[in-house]
Amino acid sequence: MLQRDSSFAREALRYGLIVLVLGFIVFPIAWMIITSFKPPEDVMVSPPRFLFTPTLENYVHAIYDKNFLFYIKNTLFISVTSTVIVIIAGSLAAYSFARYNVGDGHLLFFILSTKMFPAIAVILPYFLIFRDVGKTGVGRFLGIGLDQPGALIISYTVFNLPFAIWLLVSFFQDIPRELEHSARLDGLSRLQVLAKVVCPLAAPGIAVTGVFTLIFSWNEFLFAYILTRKVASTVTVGVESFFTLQGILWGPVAAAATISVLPMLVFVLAMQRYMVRGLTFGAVRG
Amino acid sequence: MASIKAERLVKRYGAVQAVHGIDFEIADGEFVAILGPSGCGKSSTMRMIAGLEKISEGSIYFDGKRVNDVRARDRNVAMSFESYALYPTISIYENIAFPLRSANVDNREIDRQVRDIAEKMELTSLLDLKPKGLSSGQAQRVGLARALVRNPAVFLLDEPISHLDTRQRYRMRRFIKSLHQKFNYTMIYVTHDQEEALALADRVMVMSDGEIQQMAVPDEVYARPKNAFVAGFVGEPPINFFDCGVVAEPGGWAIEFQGRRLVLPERLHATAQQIGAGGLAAIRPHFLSIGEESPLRLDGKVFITEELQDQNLVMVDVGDIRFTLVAHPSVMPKRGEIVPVSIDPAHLLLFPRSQADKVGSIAA
Amino acid sequence: MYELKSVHKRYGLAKVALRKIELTVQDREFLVIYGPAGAGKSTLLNILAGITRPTSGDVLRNGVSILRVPPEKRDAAMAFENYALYSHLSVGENLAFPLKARGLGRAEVEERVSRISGILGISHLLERRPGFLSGGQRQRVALGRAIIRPADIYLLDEPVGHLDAKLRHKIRAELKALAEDLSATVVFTTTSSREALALGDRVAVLNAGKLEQIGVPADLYHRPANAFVASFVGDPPMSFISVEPRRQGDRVEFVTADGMPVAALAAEAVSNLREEAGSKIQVGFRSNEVRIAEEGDSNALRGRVDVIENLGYMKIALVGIGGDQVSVSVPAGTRLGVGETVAIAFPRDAVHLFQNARAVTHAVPSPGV
Repeated sequence: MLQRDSSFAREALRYGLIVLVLGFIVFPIAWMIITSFKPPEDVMVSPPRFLFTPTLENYVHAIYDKNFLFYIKNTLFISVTSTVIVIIAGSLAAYSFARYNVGDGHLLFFILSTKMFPAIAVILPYFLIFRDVGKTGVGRFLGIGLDQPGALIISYTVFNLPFAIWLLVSFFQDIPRELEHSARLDGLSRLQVLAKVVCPLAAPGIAVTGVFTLIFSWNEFLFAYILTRKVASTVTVGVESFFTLQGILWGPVAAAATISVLPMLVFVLAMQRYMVRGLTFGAVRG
Repeated sequence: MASIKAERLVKRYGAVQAVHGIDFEIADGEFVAILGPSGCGKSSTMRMIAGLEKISEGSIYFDGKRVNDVRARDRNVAMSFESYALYPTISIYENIAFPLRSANVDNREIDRQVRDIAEKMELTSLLDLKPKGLSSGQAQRVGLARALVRNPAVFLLDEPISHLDTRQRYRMRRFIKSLHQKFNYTMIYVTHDQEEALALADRVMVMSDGEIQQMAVPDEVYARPKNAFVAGFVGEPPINFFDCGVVAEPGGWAIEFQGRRLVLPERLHATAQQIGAGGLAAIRPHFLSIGEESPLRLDGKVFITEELQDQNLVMVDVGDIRFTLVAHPSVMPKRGEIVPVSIDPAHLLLFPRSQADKVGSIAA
Repeated sequence: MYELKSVHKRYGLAKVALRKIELTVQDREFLVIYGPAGAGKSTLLNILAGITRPTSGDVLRNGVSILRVPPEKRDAAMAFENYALYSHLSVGENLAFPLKARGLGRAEVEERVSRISGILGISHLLERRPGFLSGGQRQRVALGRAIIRPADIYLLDEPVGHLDAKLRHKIRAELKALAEDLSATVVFTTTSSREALALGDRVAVLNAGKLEQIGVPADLYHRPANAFVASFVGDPPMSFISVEPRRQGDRVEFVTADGMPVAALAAEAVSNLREEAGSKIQVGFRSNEVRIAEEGDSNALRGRVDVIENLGYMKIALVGIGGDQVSVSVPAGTRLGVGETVAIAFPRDAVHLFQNARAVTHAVPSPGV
């Protein structure tokens, strides 16, 4: 609680600390954005230059010479598709865990335990599986071979699903059963109850889960690096391609990074209202 | 044990003021109930006494010593919460000893005090058990023992029995009352339940809107409420209010209600004179009757009769006002019946009309 | 008409919520289920609603088993103890929900919402979300949502328990009147004796999953089947004194352990008092059936005032007699101090008598009958 009578020194200390913490978080991002507008000769000079003539040169290079929007398009398709699958499958699974306690908790633990493997442990089998499946007719039809979006969509879905289920279970558990009972007594069928009562109530939780899943997929590097080469590469791999034999193109890297951060930033800001509601879910129960 | 005194006590949360500069004194060993609806400032007041909230303005004294800057744990205040959370992994003995251990009391002293309080609370045979498996009554006693083992200067209770069933309420109430009689703690009991407050306390402090409306012994609060709020908040079934005209009579004053006139007893003359034309009259359900002769008799239509067996509650609509009256169990008029309702002028209360809106704000 | 036939409900292996309940809910009756917390009241309502399936036994509606009928097909309306309001909908939308679910027209929905919210005093809250309401307000919305639509049976789970005294008083009367006007069948649970007696056409006393007694309020109050019902129905609760019987010609006298006579009854009135060694015999008193003795009262017991509770309109003195305590109603103006020795006058031939907690006789002329 904010004490009105706290002294000036205490307030100063408080704000000092806030500025310090903010500095650590904001400075790297600010630096990236500043760098993206610097002419090449100013990028690496020491001490850093804060006054320079801003230029769009780096953006031109990233977008036209490196075709960076292609990676954005890929990433958007892969991460959104994966997130939609995760949300649908995850919600259904989580609802049944929350309401019917399927597997007495053991199944839920097993699902979550798959999260305990580091990605690096499964990357080799994944590589081999997608290589071989991609050669089959079905694999080609669904696009789940190496360097194809389907492979990444499946990988991300498999990787995000346990966490999403675990998160969603607690959101569904927070919805009092009596709400569903009451709606059924009012004459709604089970499916109608899901659609009219459970889903609207779980919406903030689903939104939070969706945002986490999307951010993870968007930022993922290891799978994208191993499983794609050109056709299905995502932004993280795209940025990596700026690390050329001739050296690292810091200006264009900063520009590309800025471009790839932007969609997520806009998205998260747009979702902020739901996210806050979702994160404080229990507090506003009717 | 300590006496408590508050001077111009103010509590602010940001821009909102919850307690508006109240003064009160509680004697050593006294049992005071702070009674009021939710949001009246009663809990803030108690938490300031306990030291859990900072005092925004004013002072609190324990035995004449200002305690504003004394930390909660150094005030020697015990507090019992509605849920008696016991530590499940340790024995009853250790649960009770817990506050002493954290105060670094030596082992022999701890043993003496734990056994002492356990005996008084009739828990001696349970000391070696774990909390699991205790009945709710036993768990409550253990919780109270833990609160009381430090021999507190002040014992604060925050609505510990508000959700119990009728029988348990009586049990718990009598237990708390006997606790006070046995130990003579200075006790402060915060509640929104007027019946608990009247039944338990030596004095009742009625609060509303961050101010003390009245602080007096239960009989006084019940029979001579200081204003319409107190009259409406205290009493079960609730008091009946009705707007009335106030008119001068030869040699006194009278009220007018629905075209009828009731001469006021002498004790209300001064009030009537102050109020002037429009008043708010109030009469307890116990002082209304059906059929008996009275200078103010009104015809009303029975809305419903509740047969409580030891008494019947009859609700009668007189014009647009619904009166509740307490009748003998043999009086049970049917719904819709027209009955004469008599007011006993000896127990009539009269307030200024301006207090009418305070009465309406009682609803939760 | 609803019937529970030998309904048993167990949760898991050990926790028994209901034990072989036999209960009939008559058409158009207001039935109150009265019991302490954890007695199984909610479980019973849930079984009537179809939310919970009994472990064994049958539930009949007009003679036909409805065990397999899902809740949405039962036409029961329910108010839940924890309100169960839709937090994503406004108060008005919450109230309208059951009506819209049944496809009622807009005009009719609005008319009913405004009528019910008027009765419950929540008209000014219709636009708000439940999250911004006080407990008492939420409870009224929950109650409103249950009674807003016509239903075959209304199941109300402690629907006024969280209201303040004044509002509880008002709404309980409105509810009773509304039920009468609509000829509705209502099952209502409560932990308050006053509420049970005030509302119920009949009251069922439930304790630890067992149906202790069912009957009209006067029966429960004047002729409780056992000591539990006696001590649970009535406000203040009945108090008891342990006694021993002593035969004296055609009368049986009941005396305390110290030999003080408490009551004397005609032998035929206590003919079903069994001769059992070690059985516990208690005389029960309502606080208004005993009084502080006056000068010249014969047959008074001496005791010490342990506690005085002020209820405003009267006081209750808790008087210790031997190892027991007896509640005595005394008029508000009486001067009485804790620790004082008083004599209590008992109605010699008008007492409740219990043997091992089972009622033997109620030799009390019921007032008002």
